[in-house]
Amino acid sequence: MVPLPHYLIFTAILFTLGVIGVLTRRNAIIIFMSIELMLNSVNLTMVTFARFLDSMDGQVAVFLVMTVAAAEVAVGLALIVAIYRKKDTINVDEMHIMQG
Amino acid sequence: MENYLLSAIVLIPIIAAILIMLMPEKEVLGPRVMATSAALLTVALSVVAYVLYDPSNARNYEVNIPWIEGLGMQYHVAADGVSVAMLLLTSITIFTGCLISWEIKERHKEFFALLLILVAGVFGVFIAFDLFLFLVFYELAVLPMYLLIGIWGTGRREYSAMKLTLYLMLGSALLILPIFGLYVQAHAATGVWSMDYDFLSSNFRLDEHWQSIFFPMVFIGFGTIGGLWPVHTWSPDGHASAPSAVSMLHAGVLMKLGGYGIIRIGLQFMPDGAQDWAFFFACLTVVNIVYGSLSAMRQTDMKYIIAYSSVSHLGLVTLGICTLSVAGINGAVYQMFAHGIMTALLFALVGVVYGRLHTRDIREMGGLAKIIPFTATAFVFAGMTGLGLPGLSGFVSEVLVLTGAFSAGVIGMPSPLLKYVALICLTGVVFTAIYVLRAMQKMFFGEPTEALITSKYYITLRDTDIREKLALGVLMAVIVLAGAYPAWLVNLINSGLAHGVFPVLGLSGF
Amino acid sequence: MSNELISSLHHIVVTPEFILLLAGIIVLIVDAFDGDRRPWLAPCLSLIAFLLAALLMIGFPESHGRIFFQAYTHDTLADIMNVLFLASGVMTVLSGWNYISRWAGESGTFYGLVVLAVMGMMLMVSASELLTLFVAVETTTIALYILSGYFKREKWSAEAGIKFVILGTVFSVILLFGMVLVYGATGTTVFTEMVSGAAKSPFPGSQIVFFGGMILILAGLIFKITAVPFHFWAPDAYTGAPTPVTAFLSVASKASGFGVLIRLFYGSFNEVPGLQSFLIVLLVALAGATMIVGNLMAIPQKNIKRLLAYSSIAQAGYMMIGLSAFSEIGMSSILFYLAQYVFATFGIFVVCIIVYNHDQSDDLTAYEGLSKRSPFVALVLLVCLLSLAGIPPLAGFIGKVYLFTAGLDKGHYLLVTIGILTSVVSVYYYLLILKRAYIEKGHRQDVLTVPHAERLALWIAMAGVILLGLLPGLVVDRVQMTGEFILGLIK
Repeated sequence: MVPLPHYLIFTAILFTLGVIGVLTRRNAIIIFMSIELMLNSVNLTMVTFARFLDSMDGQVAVFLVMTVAAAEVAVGLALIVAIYRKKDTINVDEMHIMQG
Repeated sequence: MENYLLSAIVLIPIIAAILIMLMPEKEVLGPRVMATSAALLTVALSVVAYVLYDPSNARNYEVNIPWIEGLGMQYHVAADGVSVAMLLLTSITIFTGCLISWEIKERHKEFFALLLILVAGVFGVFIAFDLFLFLVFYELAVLPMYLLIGIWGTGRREYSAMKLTLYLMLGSALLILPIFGLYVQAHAATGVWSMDYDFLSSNFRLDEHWQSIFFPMVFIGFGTIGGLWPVHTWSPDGHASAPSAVSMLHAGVLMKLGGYGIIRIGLQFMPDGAQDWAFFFACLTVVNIVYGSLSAMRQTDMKYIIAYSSVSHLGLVTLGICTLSVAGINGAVYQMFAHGIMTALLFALVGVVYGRLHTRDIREMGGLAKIIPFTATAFVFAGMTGLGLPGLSGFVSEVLVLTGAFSAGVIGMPSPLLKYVALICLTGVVFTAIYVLRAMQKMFFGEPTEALITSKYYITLRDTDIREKLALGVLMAVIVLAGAYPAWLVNLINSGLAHGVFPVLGLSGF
Repeated sequence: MSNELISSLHHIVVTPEFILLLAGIIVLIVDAFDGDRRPWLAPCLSLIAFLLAALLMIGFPESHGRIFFQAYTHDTLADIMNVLFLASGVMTVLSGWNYISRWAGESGTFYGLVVLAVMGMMLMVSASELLTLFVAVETTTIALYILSGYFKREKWSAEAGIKFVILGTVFSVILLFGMVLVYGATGTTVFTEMVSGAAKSPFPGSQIVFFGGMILILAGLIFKITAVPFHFWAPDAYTGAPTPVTAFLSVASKASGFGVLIRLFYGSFNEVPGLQSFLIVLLVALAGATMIVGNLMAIPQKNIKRLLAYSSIAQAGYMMIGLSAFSEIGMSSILFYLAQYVFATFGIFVVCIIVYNHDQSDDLTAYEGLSKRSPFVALVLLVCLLSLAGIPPLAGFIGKVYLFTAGLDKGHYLLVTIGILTSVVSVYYYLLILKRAYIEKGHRQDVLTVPHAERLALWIAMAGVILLGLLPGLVVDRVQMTGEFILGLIK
């Protein structure tokens, strides 16, 4: 069996990649994809722990998290559409009318 | 019944303020009459409080009602001799201040309401025997000043108002830490959450290390409002911009909160800290006295002259406290009273002159004594009090404080060097004589200057009317009363101190 | 079905959460069918729902206990927080009454979402199991995302919404990651079982995983309460969101964050060895930084909503003084502070709404001469700002000294000194607003009209601030009981 630390390190790498994506990408859609990457690394961690702890809690939780994440992204995409209609761009760097 | 006397003194101005705000906007006479009669009522009640005062009793008119039980805060009001003296001072000042400000035209409703709220806060501070209540009233007294100066002031009023408020807020910020430090440490020691003055002073004594940390914070915190050098710089600007009634109240009463607070809280709860720091602060007060009078000599604006003279005279209050002696502390409180009345008189007079001439520059005046004799007489009278003419109130406090400073070597000695400090202070008295005489000479004697004669207000110049005469006359009468027969006041103050800080400092009173 | 489940279901029918869930759905449905003809129906229904929920809490005060297999707790902490959420819900509805329908066109969805967000917040503070907590957090934040982007035709509102969604989602994921790590390290998701679970340490190094998880959870919650270093989203989101939502965010959303922090770190994990001393150091540092950053950044602001955003960051810093004390008095002081904060903040934001409805401006210059245009509105602004600044005899003063007492009690002298000094700074920028309202003349002279809903909100705010200042005992006694209860001093 693959030992626990391997899983944890793998998911940590995935999570970090997601964070880097959020920080460096400027396109709102890609940022959302990076967030999905983070979420899925969390899900993977959850399954790992469920397996190692021999409990079903973590496995069930994954479905819950996926549903919630879908709702969150739906709202996000709706807002992206709204702002695209207004500004013809979804580049987050160009959203700065309120600086000051 | 008579126990609620003090609560009535605080409540009357607040109720009057609310009633004034409810009056219709066009009402001109109503707010003035309401404010003046409320003030007169507080004078009457303060006099009653003086007459019924029992000097053998540590707390007169005591009321003690739980307020925030969970945190041990109480509505604990009472009066000792010092409180009664300060109540008299405050009520007389607000009464005359209201009389003087009848001319206010613009937004007069708000003016009188704020003035009364401010004075309610001041009354509250003098009767509060719960530290939390004390703080509540203290800050209530400080903040209306911002609007009073900002709206009705003259000159650089917004700058002065902001500077004043920030300085005073910073000063009161310095108080929060010692007072609440005392509170939590008393809780740690006794297991009781209490802010009650008497509970704390009888059941808990701060550890010496903390005392010497907290005492300078309390001293500088209260010193800020008391005009201590170098945190006094708000006061000349503030006084110069404020309308006269506000200056009267501010210099006459509000700045006295400083000395009062140092005695009530600093000396009472941090006596050892006071021993450690007294000499250092005595040196600062010398700067106060000498620098204040030197600055007053240089000024040409009447209000700045009086403001700097206040800084100088209030140095005598802090010096008296720093002697940690019976005569010194008595003298300090006496000076608070005497200076309060005197400076109120001076600012009232400045208001009278400025209201007529629309200038405060003494170089543009001259020979006014012939045209407005009553004003000139009153001014000379106040000036003589300021330079300490025997028979007037200023003399008594100077003698008391300097006696305290010289006797400090004998009882409860902070440092033998204090004598020399006091000697330097005496030079301040000389400078005071110079600037007082110079100002009077420039304003009232000699020939009218070119600028004065060409001024469009010169022709219509009239002496004081009956209302102003009443205000000025009351103040002058009190000065004579306190100066010619000081025993009533000294006994009153001494009886309060003898039950309060003297035992803590190991002194025994007169 | 097991007995536990059945009794839980019986129990839940009488909870305010359930009422609000039903009401939220009803408001949305009613609005979809009848919103055009009867636009007043949705706000009325939501007000009724809030009042009904409040009545229910008075009617069934003994409904305390843990239900759904320890996943959900009703206790005095939940009660107090629920009252706060209901109060801010009522205030949000009142303040949005004219503003939303005027500037957004259709308004029914707004009220439905406010009701659902309030319900989500109630779930948050009562949740005592990690996944329940996560779902509750998401219920709240998704509603808040939509609310802050509600003016979808306005660029700034959509922009505020998208910034809030991106950052909010990132921090939700961080929160979730923390929860997962804690789950892995303890083998359970129920709060009450975690202390024993952590002690068992299911695998080598689980202690480190547990601490890492705790830090991530803390990061997620710090984002919610807008404390340094995760405060940066607040100014933009607050400025861009519709003003009632801004007020709702800065009061209720913050309160829910503090509720969860109290439930987690006071109630459940204070027995984990080493955790508390570590958290104290961390929270003290963050509290100091939050107060300094919030207050200093507020000074140069020209837009009142942005200024209030920074000021609300600073307020979070003050409340963190109480949090870092980890004592009964620390906790009760946070609750008291939140209680008075509801009134003061809503009072100011309702004034903003009234001014915006007249002048279409949130600039500070719009406030010039306010005391001439409407003395009453200016008075409420004065009272509420002075309360936030901590001037007696208003409630904010007692709130602040309560927090300072909690800090001093634990010997955090430096932190309290920072708190006191930054309070003086806050007096400065609050006075700058008041200077415009009272001292400056201003070029607009027209009288401000105040509609009934706003007038009611202003009266509630001012009465609350003054009443809690003069008679704080009303709330202090209750929050002290809660403090003792949560820390297990009374069973």
